[in-house]
Amino acid sequence: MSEEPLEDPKTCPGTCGTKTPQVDLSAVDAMVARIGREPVHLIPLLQEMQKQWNHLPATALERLAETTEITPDAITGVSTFYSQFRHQPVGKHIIKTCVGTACHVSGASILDETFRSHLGIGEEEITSDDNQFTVEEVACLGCCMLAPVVQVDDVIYGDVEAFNIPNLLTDFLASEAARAGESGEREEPRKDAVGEARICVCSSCVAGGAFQVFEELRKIVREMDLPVRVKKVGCKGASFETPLVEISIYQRGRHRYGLVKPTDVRALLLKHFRPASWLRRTGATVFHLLEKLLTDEDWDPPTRFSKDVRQKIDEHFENPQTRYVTEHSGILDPRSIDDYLAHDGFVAMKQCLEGGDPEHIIQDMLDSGLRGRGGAGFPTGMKWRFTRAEKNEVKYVICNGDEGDPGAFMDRMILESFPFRVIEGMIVAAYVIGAERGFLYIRAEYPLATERILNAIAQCEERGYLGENILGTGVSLKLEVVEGAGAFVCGEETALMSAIEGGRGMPRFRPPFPAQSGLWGHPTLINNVETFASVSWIIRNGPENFAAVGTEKSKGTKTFALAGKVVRGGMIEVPMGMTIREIVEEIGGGIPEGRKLKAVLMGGPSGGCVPEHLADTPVDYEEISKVGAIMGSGGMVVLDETDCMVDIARYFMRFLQDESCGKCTPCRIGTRRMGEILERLCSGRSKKGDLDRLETLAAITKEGSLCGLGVTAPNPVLSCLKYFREEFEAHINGQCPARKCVSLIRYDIDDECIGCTRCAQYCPTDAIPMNPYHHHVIQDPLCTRCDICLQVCPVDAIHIVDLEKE
Amino acid sequence: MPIKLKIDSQEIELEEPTTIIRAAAQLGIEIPAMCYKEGYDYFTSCMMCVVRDRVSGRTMPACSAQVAEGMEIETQCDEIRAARKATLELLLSDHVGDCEAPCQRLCAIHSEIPKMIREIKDEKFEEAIATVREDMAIPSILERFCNAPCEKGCRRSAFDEGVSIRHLTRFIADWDLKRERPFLPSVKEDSGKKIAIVGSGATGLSLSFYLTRAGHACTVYEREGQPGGRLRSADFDQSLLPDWVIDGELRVLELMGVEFRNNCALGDQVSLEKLRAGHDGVVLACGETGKELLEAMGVPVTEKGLKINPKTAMTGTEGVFAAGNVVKKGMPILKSVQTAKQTAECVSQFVNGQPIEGIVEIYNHMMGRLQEGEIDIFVSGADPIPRVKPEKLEAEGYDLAQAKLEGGRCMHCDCRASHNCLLRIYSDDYGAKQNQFKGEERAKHSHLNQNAGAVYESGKCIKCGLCVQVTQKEGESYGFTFVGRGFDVTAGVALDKTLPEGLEKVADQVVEACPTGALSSNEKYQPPQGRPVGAGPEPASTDGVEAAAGHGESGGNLEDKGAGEGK
Repeated sequence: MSEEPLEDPKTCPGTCGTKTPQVDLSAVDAMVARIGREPVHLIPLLQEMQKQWNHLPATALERLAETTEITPDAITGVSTFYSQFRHQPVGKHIIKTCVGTACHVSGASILDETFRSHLGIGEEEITSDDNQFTVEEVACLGCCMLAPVVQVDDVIYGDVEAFNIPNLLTDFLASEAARAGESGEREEPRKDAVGEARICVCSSCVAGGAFQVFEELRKIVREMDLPVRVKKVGCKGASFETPLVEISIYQRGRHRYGLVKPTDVRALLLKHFRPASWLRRTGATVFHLLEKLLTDEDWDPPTRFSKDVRQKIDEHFENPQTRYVTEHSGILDPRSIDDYLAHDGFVAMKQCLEGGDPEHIIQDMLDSGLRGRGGAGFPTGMKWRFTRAEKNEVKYVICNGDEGDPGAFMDRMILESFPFRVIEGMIVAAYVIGAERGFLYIRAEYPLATERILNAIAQCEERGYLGENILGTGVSLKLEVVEGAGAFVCGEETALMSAIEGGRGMPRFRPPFPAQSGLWGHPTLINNVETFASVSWIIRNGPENFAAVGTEKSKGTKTFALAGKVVRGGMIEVPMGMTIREIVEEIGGGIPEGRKLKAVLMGGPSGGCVPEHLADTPVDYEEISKVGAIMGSGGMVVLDETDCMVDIARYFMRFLQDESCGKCTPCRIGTRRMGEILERLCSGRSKKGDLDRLETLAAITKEGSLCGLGVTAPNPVLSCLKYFREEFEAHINGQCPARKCVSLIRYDIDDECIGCTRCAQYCPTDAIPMNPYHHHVIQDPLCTRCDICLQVCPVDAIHIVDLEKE
Repeated sequence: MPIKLKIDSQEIELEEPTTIIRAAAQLGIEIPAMCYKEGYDYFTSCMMCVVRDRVSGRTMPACSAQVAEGMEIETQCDEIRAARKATLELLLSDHVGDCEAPCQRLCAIHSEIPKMIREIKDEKFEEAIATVREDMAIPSILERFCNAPCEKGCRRSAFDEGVSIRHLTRFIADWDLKRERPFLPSVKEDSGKKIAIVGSGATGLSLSFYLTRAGHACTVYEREGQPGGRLRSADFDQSLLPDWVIDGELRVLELMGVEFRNNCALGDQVSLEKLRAGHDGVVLACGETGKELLEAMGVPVTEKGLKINPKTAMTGTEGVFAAGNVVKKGMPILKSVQTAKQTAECVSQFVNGQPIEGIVEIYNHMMGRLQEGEIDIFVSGADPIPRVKPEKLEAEGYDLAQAKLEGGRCMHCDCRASHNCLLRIYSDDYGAKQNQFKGEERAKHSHLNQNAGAVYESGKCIKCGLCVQVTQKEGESYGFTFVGRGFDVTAGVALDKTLPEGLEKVADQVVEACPTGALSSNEKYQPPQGRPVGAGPEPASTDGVEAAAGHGESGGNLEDKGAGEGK
């Protein structure tokens, strides 16, 4: 906070009401001085303002207009375009319910409602009366395997269940003080270390509780004086068993423990390491004995909480994978350039910069068969060649890290775990096309990825791997990070460039393509995170080895975010050509609870579904397109028989409607009208001819839209309709075969009820009168279908049944 | 290297690359576009300008896509027309407003009532009578007996009582007839065609009006010694219809060039064959009493009346049409004028050798029932006074002061851009339907008039961004910007400022640039300067009207006065 006195409240020209805290405008001036006053600085300025006040006060925006080169129309246009920005004051804490695809199919839709009813927040409001909590929905937090996920301020909670929400909030408030005292200091590695305790603290793992385990590891190591180096590492992708601790004893092998809890840490460390001093050693034994006495329980981590590396389950997850992009996963410290250098880091870059012929490198890219991993699959070498061919003094390279598919988290994991590899790929590309400035555009929801990349850039600059005259080769590259502000459409390259320029993320007509006229009118190369991360492997190992893997037209490997109804989900990297069934069954371990595979959603809102009977389709750009889905960036959400395809179609359409930029008519209105029809279907209000209308609208939107978002927007609907038409027809008749659509079902308690009253206690709307030892009854008009009663019933007496038609 | 391509099969060679829409313009081919305007950047939002390249099979927006060697662009093929129609229908599904006010839509002869009322209120009487005569024959007669469906549809009746449209129209029509030189509407170029009209009642006179305006030479045959037919009978309350009114309307028709042959009865003085031989078309408007004559002549007449083809208004005899009470007895006068208007159109099409289609209605967007609170938005633009009911109303009608007072009650529900709105024009061209993709709920009507030189109705905005470009280009300090995104995106003034703050310099330009009625000029809605809205009548002009009315003289002095006071 600034030292300057606050403005006199009486003279405040803005909308400062009594509830709104006084806005210190000198803070705006300080931000402008620090960040800049040009249009390009607008989004960072707004982000900074929101950090300060949790919303954008009108007076602060006016101040911005008065004191910078940024025009009022840009300020309003931009600040209302991105979903991150709020114009109204909010509560002290913000609860973000993730409504990504995986969270949606895991029941996220009732969470927001439950938070609201618990906190007494009405439909039209967003903040509780005591100003403590504000609720909002977020497109995807990228922690799909822990679905449903909720983020309260900076704390992410995974596997949230509606009935647990009161506990979640209690926990959050209770741990608030503890978090405030957290120390960020980096410990010097012990010289006497005989081994390492590695833990991933990526966003997914943190959501699973990894941070607490990490803190506990450090604490115990310090306390017991163990000769162990506690190391944060990049993610293995095995989100299903997070938090995951790997104990590596130098020269003696590794042991891995999944689902570790902080209380397990002491015993886990003592199993492998002995305290360095005798005193500690005695203490440890005493402690061990004491605990045994007190808890009457012998501690045995492998059987109680953890899965040893030797267990088959982990091998199944790991063995079918081929790791190029995610090479050295689980070993590399993503925060250390030295660690990266020790693992073949920057070898490819040096090879290229020290006299590698750019044409030759392009040929390598073409020979490798690498295609754009953002989803469209355009040959990477061609893109490089086009951009290189343009004659222009100034060119740019952009890494597209705006992973928008609400069910995908590959790019997040790559950025968090392999930041140096992405940078290396960008340096090579910049060298080839002749760019000296580059940007990484990273989604707003990925703060850790941004932090890691910023750290990596700083280290690279310090060591001469970035900046002027890289390693004395005469090649220069300056990289900057641009944080997105919440807009799916910014994954579209022209929209993305507009966002970097500080404007509304609205796509424009192509051509001209970015290679011809991109950022500020200059030739620009835009590749996806994974594409850049593939580059170093190809150069180090030779394009022929990359091309040796895969199918005729799709070479190498592809990462996927495997989530939804699978036993083992997480980020995976597989060779092209592997079938979807192999991925789901072998890597994913099949569907939980013995249910059946129904379909796999691929490509998110732009993609479609691959139904069970086509699950033998291989991972290949063309083959997947043939069945009506797309490769996409790699989101793979597995559905089982309890998932309703009409609901899925509606889910994606709702998402797209929120994310359409609103520029062109077919997308702006087409998605809305399709969404309305799908809402009608899901709520039993469908009209005659609705399916025909839906198909007509889909065709119009597909044919007529300006950019990829609109052109592909009807895909999920069309593909669900193609394979599951009978489900749509059932909805017209008022039935949801999967019993998912709340307006078409009701909850019922059968004779198994023992009268325990649990359902009545938990029901948030008092729809179940408490009647101990008697058969309980749900009063349907009060029931909101929140599912809590079914979740808490100890005898499975509660069922979902079709709603009888009147 | 010059670029060669074809647009609608016409070859064009261009030295410089350009957009398809500009290349087409060079060939005189107009590609429809709403968000694109010469002089501004293309924005590619409305998607009306899509064209198809036959070579690649791709469709593309002509405003943004560049020409390329060898292209074969089609601008009007079925596929493209269907795409444009769909685009329009999507826009219409999100459009809030009425093209025409309900009064005009309900008016059987489609008189542009709100315009007339504005003109009366502004004392622009010459314009007001022109507006009336644009659609209405014999207004002075008609408005004494009209059953006024317009007043029933007047949106103001949802608030208090509908505007007294009939008396306002009668006021201006009477004012006109009392002048030395009444207003004469424009007449189309002489078609060289001759039309015979049998009968000079309300139908016959109206026919002569509409057909003369269409450029034909009309002769009206009347069996009595003077024209007027049933108008001069007890069927019409003669105390309401003094001779000067009928004579005045006849004078207008005569001045327009209509020839009257009195004492010339069908059958007796002139035979149908002779009429047919001497004219390109014959219209029978001889009323109920003319039926026997026709029967005597061998024309088949049923109990109900003379049989015609309802689509073409033609009788069984080629070139012979019929309208009015001879076809269906007991028509109210409004119906007579309406059928005369419709029949005249058919006759005109027939004599010009065109297919007989009658009056083709143009696209008309309808807002339908008002939602809660919307009536208040409408009323806020009108004077909050009760309906004006003067003492000698039926006998003499409104005087000037009363007319102006009553005129102030009009809420002007019509769209200010109804004549030049591209959305309407294209919707009409492409046969787009308003309800093809009907949404779950209609957006709320909004109307922002803050004396900014422009009125903003966000419900009519198609998000083309031209206003944003204009204000940016001209360096408005606030200006327009897009607010929000997706379906809910709107155009609005930056930083939540008021309309006048947003449009300090370029109100006229944004109105000019707006392709619809979203931003429109409020000039025609402003009261004449010097008279605040809702102020009482001015005694001097009231006297003037009474004097003029009392003496049956010209309204010249009234006109002078009105003009003088307007300053």
